Amino acid sequence: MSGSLPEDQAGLYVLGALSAEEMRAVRVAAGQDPALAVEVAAWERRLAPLARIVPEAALPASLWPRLEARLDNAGGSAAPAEIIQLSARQPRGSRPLPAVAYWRAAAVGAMALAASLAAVLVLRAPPKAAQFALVLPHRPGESGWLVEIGDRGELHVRAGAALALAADRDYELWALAEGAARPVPLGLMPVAGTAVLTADRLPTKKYQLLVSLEPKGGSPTGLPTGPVMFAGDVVTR
Amino acid sequence: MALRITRQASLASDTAQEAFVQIWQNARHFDPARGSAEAWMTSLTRYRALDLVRRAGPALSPLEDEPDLGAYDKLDALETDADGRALRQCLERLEPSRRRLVTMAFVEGFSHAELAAQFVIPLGTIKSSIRRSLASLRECLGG
Repeated sequence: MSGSLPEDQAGLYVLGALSAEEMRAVRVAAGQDPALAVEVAAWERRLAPLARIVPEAALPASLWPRLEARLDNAGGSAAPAEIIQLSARQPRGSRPLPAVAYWRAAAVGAMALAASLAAVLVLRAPPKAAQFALVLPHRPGESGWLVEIGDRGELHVRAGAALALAADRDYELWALAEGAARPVPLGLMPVAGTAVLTADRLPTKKYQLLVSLEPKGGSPTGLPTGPVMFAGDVVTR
Repeated sequence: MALRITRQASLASDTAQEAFVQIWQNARHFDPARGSAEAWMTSLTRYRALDLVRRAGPALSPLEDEPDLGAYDKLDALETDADGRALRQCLERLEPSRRRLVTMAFVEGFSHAELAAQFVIPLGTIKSSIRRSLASLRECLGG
């Protein structure tokens, strides 16, 4: 804890109760004092769920072109060219929202997009298929897969960057239909690059894709034997 | 969230865009070991909003639809995961008026001074109440 600041300044900073000068002081101090930075991060983690009190809303489609323009200008070498639009988050029927609802939606959407932005950075291209899923870790941060469902029910899988996997393990893909008790196996996932999985047993109703950690070669039982580490809803563009 | 804190659509739009751009540029540096993506993105969005609103000064127009104070007592939305459930349990140990100060500070981005004005309570009382609440939350939540 920084000697020059009151003891609970990290919590007050994250809570948002400080004045502009006090906020600046905490920021400067945290840049020089790793213990304070850790304390701030701990408070961010403790209080983050409070953001859920603000109701989640859809992002209006018209926000995207403006954001893309901003990102193109701001991104430099780091920025991929395109953003995946989350069809599932679009408002049904795309009614124009009143101004207040619009910006509340936009601001809250910034958080709703937590999972997808991380994925976008590694996947770098929008899906082309009518149906697709972003299969992401439960606590998204790094990477996952973009799974596109082709016309013949085949799955085009693209791995994000840096998927870690022990040499004696495989990631296995499963489809879990709404209301179903058991998932059906769809095949082993690539940890890098792309793969096409031929699935003859895709659910006919709404379903989720899950990825579990399995022994090399996949689950010997036909059901997941390891933890389900990634998941994503199949959405229709 | 940005709108809640800035209470002006134009500021909220700036905030949302700033936050998006920052998240975009920094996502590769996000370290899951330090916290969840939700915490990271929530914080980023809130700090941008707080910077803007503090810079703009106190003369802000009120929210077009005034927040319903009862909304700060409805903590069901926290229940979606273990972290949220733990936070809810710990918040519910606080006395209701103190709990509301904490949730309003976070959701609305009210400073000590703004909370004091809002509730017509002396600034020192607000500060010590929030301080005690944070200490109690820290003890309850650990980590």
